[in-house]
Amino acid sequence: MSAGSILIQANPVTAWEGFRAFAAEHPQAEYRYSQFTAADHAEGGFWSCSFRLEGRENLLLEMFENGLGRHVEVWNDRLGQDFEGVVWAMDLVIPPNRYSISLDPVHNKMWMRADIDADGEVERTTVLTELDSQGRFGIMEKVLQGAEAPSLAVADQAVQIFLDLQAWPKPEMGLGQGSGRLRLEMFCRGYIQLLGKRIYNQIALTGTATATEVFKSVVDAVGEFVGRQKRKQNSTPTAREFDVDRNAQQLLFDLGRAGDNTGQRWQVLMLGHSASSVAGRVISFKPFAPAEA
Amino acid sequence: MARTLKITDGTTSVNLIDTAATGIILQRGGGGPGEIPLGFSEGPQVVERWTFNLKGSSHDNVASQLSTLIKLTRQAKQYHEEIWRRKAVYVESQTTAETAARYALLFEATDLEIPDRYDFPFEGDSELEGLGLTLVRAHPWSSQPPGTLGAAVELDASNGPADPSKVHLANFRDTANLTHVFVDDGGVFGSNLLSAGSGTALWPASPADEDHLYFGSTDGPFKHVCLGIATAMASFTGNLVVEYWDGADWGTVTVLGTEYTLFAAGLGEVTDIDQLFTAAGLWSINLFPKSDWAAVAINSVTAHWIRIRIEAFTSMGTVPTKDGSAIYAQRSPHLEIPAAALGGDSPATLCLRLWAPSGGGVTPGPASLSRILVGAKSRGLTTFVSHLNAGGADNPAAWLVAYGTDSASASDPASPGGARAHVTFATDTNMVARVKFTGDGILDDYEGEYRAFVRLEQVGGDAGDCEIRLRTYLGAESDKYPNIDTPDVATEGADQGPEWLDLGLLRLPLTRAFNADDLSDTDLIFQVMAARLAGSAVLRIHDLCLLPVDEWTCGLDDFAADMTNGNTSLKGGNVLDVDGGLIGMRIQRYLYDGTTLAPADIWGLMGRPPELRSPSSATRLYFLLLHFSDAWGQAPLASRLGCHLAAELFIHQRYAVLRGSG
Repeated sequence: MSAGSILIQANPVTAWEGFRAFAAEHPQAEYRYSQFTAADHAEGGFWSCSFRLEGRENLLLEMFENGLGRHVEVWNDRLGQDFEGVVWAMDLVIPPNRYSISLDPVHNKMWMRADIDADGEVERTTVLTELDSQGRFGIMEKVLQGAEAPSLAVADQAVQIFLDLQAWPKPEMGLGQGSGRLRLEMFCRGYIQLLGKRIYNQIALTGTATATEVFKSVVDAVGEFVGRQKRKQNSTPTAREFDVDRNAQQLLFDLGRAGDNTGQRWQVLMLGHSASSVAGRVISFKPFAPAEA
Repeated sequence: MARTLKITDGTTSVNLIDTAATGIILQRGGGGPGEIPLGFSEGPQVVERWTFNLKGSSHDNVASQLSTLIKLTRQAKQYHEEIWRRKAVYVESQTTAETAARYALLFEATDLEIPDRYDFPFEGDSELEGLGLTLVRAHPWSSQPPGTLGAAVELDASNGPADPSKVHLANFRDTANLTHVFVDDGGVFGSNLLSAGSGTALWPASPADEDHLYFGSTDGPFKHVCLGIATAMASFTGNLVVEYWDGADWGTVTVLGTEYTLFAAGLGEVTDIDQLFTAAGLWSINLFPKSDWAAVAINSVTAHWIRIRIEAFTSMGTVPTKDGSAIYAQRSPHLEIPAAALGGDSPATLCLRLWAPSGGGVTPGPASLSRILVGAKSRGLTTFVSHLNAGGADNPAAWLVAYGTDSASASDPASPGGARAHVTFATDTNMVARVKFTGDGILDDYEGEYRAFVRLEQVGGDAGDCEIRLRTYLGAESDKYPNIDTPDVATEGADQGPEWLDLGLLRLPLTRAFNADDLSDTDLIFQVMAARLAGSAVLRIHDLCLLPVDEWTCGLDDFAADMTNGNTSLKGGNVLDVDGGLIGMRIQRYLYDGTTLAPADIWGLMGRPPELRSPSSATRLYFLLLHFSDAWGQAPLASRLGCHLAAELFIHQRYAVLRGSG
C-alpha cells in the first residue's frame, strides 16, 4: 500500500507546540516513509495506520520524544485523504535496541467505584486529574474498580497512585530487539479511538430523547477532538440518563447498532477533510445500509 | 569530447577516466551495472559497482588521490544525513561522442575494495589495480547537476507574450481580456497603449494631479492587469489611487490586500500603490472584483474600467514606460510546458516556483493564500478547459449551459465571465438539477481522471444548510444513458465568499478507455444538483472545475500553523518552491526582498512530489488557489477571483542510460 505523502503536525486541539512536517516516499525527503498500511472501519471510519519513518537521527529522536498525539494526515496521489488521526505509539529502532512508547497506558483523569461507606453499594470517589497531561494529550479517563474501601480518603489515595503512574507515557527499552536500519515505526489511530479514552455519564436529564439528540449530547460532552458533527435524524427513543461509566466510543457505536424504527442500522463514522477544506475530524451519524425488505 | 566520469561536488572532483600518466582510469567493463530499472515503482536509486586502476607519481600521490575520493564519498553520505553539509555530491558522466553530460545525485559509496599495497604493481609503479567502488546513485540520470535549478523553462504562451519564463496564474477561466489602455493628461486622452512599443510612457511627460491611467475591457469585467515595465518610475512624490466605476461614481478601491493586490517581479513586498511601476519587469494589478462594477464610456469607449489617479502630486523624476509586449488580462488558471522542455526518456523532475503578490497581512483574505491545488494533464489540450462557468458566459463553443429548477443566470462581475448561476430554492428545496453543462462531442479530450470541484457561495443561513451533488451523463441527459453521481457535499460556509466543494473523483468515460475506443462523438453532460436542507439560504454557483489527477496532482498546504496572524500563508514578499528534488525534496516558502530568497518555513505536501510522467508531451499544470476567509485555520477555505500567483518552472530532464544531444 502506498500513500502520496504523510503530514505530521501539532495537534490542532491540544496545540501545545508548533511542529509541522511531511514525509514522502522520496530518497531526498527530510522525512521518508515506507511500508504504509491503513485500516478503515465501516463502523468508526479512519481507524488506524502504520508506517516506517526514516530520516536524520536527530529528527527521529525528536519525534520519539514529542510525537505522541501529533496530528497525522495521509494523502493519496489523487488528492484524497486516506487517513486522519494521531500518533498513538512509536518504536524507535536504533540497532541493536528498540525503544517503545505509547498512549495505550496513559490516563490523566481517574476515579474509583467502590463501596467507601460500607453500605453495600458502590460510590464514585473524587475525580482526580493531571492537567498538564490533559493539556498535552487531551483527556484520557479511567475508572478503577475498588470493590470495598475503608474510606474515601483511602480510595482517593489509591486513585492518586494510579494517576501518578499512568498520567504520562513511559518509554520502554528492548535491549537487543532492534535490527536493520535506524527508523521510527509509527502507529497511528483515528480520532474515533480517542473517544474510546473517554467515559460518558449524564444524570441531570432523565427520560428519553431521539437517538440523534443523545448522540449529540455524548459528542458535545466528551468529543474534545471532534471538529464537526454531521447528524442525520434518527428519532428512535433513547434513554438520556447514563450513570454506569460507559466508554463513549462504545456508547456511540451502540446507538448506531440500535438503528431506527425501520430496522436499519446506523453508522458512526469519523473521517477527515477534503482537498479544498480544513474542516477535518468530522463525526457523522447516518443510516448504515438500506433496510431489509 | 573527452569521455567523462567523475564524482564531484561542483568544486572538488575526482576524474575516474583520467588518461594522464597519473590518475584513475576505469578498467574495461568496470563502469556500471548491466541492469537498470525502467518502471515507476523501482525507486529512484540504483547501486553500481565500478572497478578502476589508480596510478600515482608516488605512494604519497596515490594516497592523496585516494583521500580526495574518500572525502567526496563521505561528503555524499553526510549531505543526506547531516544538516551542516549543504553541497550535494554527484556523478557527472558523458561518453566520447555524447553531446551533453548527465548527472546523478550520489547517496553514498558503501565500500571501497582495495588491492594489496605491499606488492607489485603498487610497490614499484605506484599503481593500484582493481580498486572497486560500490555506490548508490540517483536514477535516472538528470540533465542538470543536482543541487542546482538551471535556467527557468521557456513556457508556452499563456494569455500574454510568447515564450515567457514567468507566467501569471488566474483563479478562474474566462475570455475577458483588456482592450484599451489610455493615458489621460488633464482631460486629454492619448492613443490606445495596449500594444504600444517598448519605451511608451504610462504617464504624461509632465504628470499632474488628476492625470489618469485607464485600463479597460469591452469584453467585460477583468481581474488582472498584466504588463511589463521597461523603465521604472523614479522619484515620485504624490499619491496614486486605484478606482473603479460603480455605476454612479468612481468608487475608490482603497485597500491594498482587500480590494486588490500588486505583483512586481523585480521587488519584494510592495506595501503601497505609490510604488506602482517602480521596478522594471513584470507587474500585475490583481482585482477582487466588486459586485457593482459597471461599464462606462471613457474616451468614447464603453467598457469596464479601472483607473490609476494621481493626487497630491509634487514630482516624478522618471516616468515609467512599458515594454514591447501587449498589456493583457490573465484569464487562465494554468501554465503550459512545451514538449521540447520535457525531453529525456524518463519522467522529468521539476521545481515549480510560485511568486505571491503583495497586499496580504495579518487578516485572512484573498491576498494571503493558504492552499494551492495543482493537477497535470498532457492529453486533449486542444479543447480541454478545466473550468466551466455556471453563469454560461465565456465557455468554449462546444459547451452549452442550461438551468434547472429555481435557477437562472445572473450578472455578477465577481464571477467568471461576469455571470453566475443563482439558485433560489423558491419552489423546490430537494436535490434536483440546477445547472447543466452539455459538451457536444467533447468526451475525447476529457478522457482521464479528475477531482471535481464546484465553486459556490451560500448566501444566508448557516453553514451546511445546502448540499450539492454532481451527476455525470455520457451520451445524453437521460436516465437511460450511463450516469454516475458523486456523494452529497454540504457547504462549509455561509456569507464567507466562494468556496470550492470537493465532490470526489470522476473518471471519464466511466470505465477505462483504450486507444482503440472512439470517444470523439460522445456528449458529456454535467448536472450540478443542489438541495437546501434548512433555512432560507440561496446559492451562487460560479463554476465547475475538473482538476486532472491521473498524471500528477498535489495539494500545497500552509499547515495553518499560525492561527493568530497567519504568518505562514503565502503573501507579498513570499515565494513558494514545490521542489521534486532539484535542490531538495521540499515545499519551501522563502522570504523575497527583491534580491535574495531566504528560506522561511515549509508547507505541507498533499500527494506525491512533482514528477511529469509523459516525456516529450506538452503538459499543462492547472491551479486552484484558496485562502482563509474570516479566521486563520477555520473553515471554509474560500477562493476569490483575483487571487493570483506568478509561476516559474525549472525542469531536470531525465535519461535512463544516455542523454545524447537532449
